[in-house]
Amino acid sequence: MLFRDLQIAFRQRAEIMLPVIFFVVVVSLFPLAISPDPDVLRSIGPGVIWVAALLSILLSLQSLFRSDFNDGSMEQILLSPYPGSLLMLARIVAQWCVTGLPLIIISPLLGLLLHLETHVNWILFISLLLGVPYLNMVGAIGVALTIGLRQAGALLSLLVLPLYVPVLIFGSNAVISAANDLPYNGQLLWLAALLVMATTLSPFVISSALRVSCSYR
Amino acid sequence: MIFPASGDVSVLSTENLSYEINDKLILQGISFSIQSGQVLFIEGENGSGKTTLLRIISGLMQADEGHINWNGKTIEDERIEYNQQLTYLGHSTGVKAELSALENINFFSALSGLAQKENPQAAMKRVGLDSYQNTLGRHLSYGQQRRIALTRLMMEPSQLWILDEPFAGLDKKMIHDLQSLFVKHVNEGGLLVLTSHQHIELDRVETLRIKLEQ
Repeated sequence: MLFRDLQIAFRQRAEIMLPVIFFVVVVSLFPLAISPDPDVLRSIGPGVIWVAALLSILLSLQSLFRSDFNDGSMEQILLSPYPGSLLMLARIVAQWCVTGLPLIIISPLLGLLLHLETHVNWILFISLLLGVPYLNMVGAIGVALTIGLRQAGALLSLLVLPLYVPVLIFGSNAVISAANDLPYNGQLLWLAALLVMATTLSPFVISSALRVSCSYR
Repeated sequence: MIFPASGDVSVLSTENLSYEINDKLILQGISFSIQSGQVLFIEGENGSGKTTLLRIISGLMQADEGHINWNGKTIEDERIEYNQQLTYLGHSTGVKAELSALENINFFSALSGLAQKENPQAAMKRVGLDSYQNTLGRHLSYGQQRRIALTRLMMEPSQLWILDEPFAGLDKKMIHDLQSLFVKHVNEGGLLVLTSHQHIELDRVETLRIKLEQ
């Protein structure tokens, strides 16, 4: 399942690159629009990168499950003797590999662009590494619930954004604390706790939600 | 007997299935029972609820009332066992546009989780697609995509086939071959539930018919 999803993603490179390009463009527009002053950029940098990451994951969610749902392969996945939650976990890991992972890898470069110091940049990297998979998984729950609807975009954002807010706060706050030489372990531990919770629970929720969506087609 | 996993005769039965959409009763009091070696043919006009009934029997949808039993136990209790014995083909073929014909077939067989009766290349040859192995799904016609979906019938060792309009988009020869495949499956102890607009008679096979009214 994981291999097949990666294979499909690789064959539609232009589409999967979109969220990453969006991420880079949004972050690099801020110095142009606000000020090239290093002090200003240093203070807004963590927030800008975190918000851009969050929005680009939200953007990438739209295509998740959509083609499976339209071409009928979702029905076959739900009727497979394998546990639905395991198959969904594979699906999200694949989605994370093509959207979340490139975004995390590229973030230290954008940190440099916004004049973040090296150790702050590291904390940014770690906070995204812990936070972005959570965004993928919780977002997937929203997609699974709304996939059967015609105009799901607005409802999806409405459902998912409140659940994204804690991660945004902990994530950007960890980086800001690091920049001000304050302790940041607490925030990172919170991110890790949320990630563990999402990893263990979301596959079950997603597979049940997809079952419901499929039955009201 | 080609179904060692199930051993004896299998029975699929429903009790009083009812289903309504927007206060309109689509299905009411559907009860039947078929066993290994029998075919259930569901007839009805467009919109009479044939597809809905098949989706409920396969477990994709929940009936508002009633139960579906597989070998005496409800399919909710026996989900894994039931899904192993089930091959469901709906209106959508499940063929991914980004994968080649062969990759699509390999994915189907990986998803079924059981050793396959036939290898993918041989199945492709039987549906006349052996020269299309590396063609991407999006370059195949609807009829060819249907044929790819039909290779699952040749490969998966499942006992119960639930087929929604299996002849749609196929040419005469393929329809004939498919009918022979149905007869073979049923005579080897399989169960077949299907809908079709075409009137079909399968030779030497016990066929039950349900007519759905609008």
